[in-house]
Amino acid sequence: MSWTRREALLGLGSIPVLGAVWWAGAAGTTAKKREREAILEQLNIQPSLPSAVPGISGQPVRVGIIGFGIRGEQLCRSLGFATDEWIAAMEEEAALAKLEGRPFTALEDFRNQDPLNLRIVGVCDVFDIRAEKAVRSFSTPEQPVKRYTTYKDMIQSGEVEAVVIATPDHWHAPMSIEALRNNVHVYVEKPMTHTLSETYELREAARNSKAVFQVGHQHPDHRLGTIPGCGPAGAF
Amino acid sequence: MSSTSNRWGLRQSITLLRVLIGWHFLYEGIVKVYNPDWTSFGYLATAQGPLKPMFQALSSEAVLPWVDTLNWAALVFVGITLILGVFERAGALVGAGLLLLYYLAHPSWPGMAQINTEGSYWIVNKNLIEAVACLVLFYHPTGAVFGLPRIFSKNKTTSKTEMS
Repeated sequence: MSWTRREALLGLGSIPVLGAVWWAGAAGTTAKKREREAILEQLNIQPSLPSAVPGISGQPVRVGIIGFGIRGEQLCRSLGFATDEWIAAMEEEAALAKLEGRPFTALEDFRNQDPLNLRIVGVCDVFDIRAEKAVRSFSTPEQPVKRYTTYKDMIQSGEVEAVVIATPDHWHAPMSIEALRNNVHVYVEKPMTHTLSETYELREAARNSKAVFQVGHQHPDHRLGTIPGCGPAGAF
Repeated sequence: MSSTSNRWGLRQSITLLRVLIGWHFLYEGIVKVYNPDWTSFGYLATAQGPLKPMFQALSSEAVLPWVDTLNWAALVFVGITLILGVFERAGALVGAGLLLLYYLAHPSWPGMAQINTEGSYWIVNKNLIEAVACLVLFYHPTGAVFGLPRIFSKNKTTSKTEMS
């Protein structure tokens, strides 16, 4: 073995390469981690993953639906409840799609949703056909869906812990205010209010309420399912 | 000896390729080793293509820690072997296998969603090219050109200057 400079360089030169890459990776990663920790500490934030949806335990939340039109039905599907008519239509659509060889997963997606541990216990709609559709589709032997004549009846019945409001826009604020004053949790979508004065009134109602007020905007989310542990942090 | 000098450029190029691929693997591995929050979950959960069920099964809570550990261990192994030139053939093979798995998890085939890719690809992407490069390394070990085996190798490649 000849220990010339050339031999030593070519034989051992790979070691510093290894060391450099190792050092760069380790130093870069730890520096980034330290920077992140410093920012979090400064902001006093505990990073945590969003709570997983499948683990919701305890008594199911009793939900009332106000307005069971197109959006009402869609929101109920997000909660895990579909009408018999919709399921039949989707099955037909899926069969057709299969025949034509194109993908169609609406029904599958619906069935694969995470369970939210809630019950639909009441519905309120001025249109008989729609209210009856909800009663017919969502009632189970142990949990019949009750139809209420007005939203006030439903909110004040004491049998509903949370309401999903899917009515025409000008009803959003009055119904939300009524529910919050009775400590009933609210999910309502944009527009939250119809007039400026309503906005302030709604803010007061939300501040003084023990219930959670949630406004859906673009994307409905799953927070409704966690209401029992949610507390005032989720409010307005 | 004249045949050796003809192949000078080729051997040195493959050696350079080996060190660079090793560099890439080692850095990817080290970054994951030093970041305890790193997980392959997102990559596996968004898998596409025919092997989607397999990759999604790997992302389940029970196996994920093993998959993560195996992944960084394999990356570091490939990195060390290719840079130092020791067990380089095993390293090249493991590297090609890993890259093929990455390729199959997110194949750049027409009609598949391209998630987290920075370029435009049609069937061929960087993972596939690097996998084939690993194949070249497997068939052309170069540890005796540059790397620890050179110290122990009796069959040294001659330098450009021929000595008679």
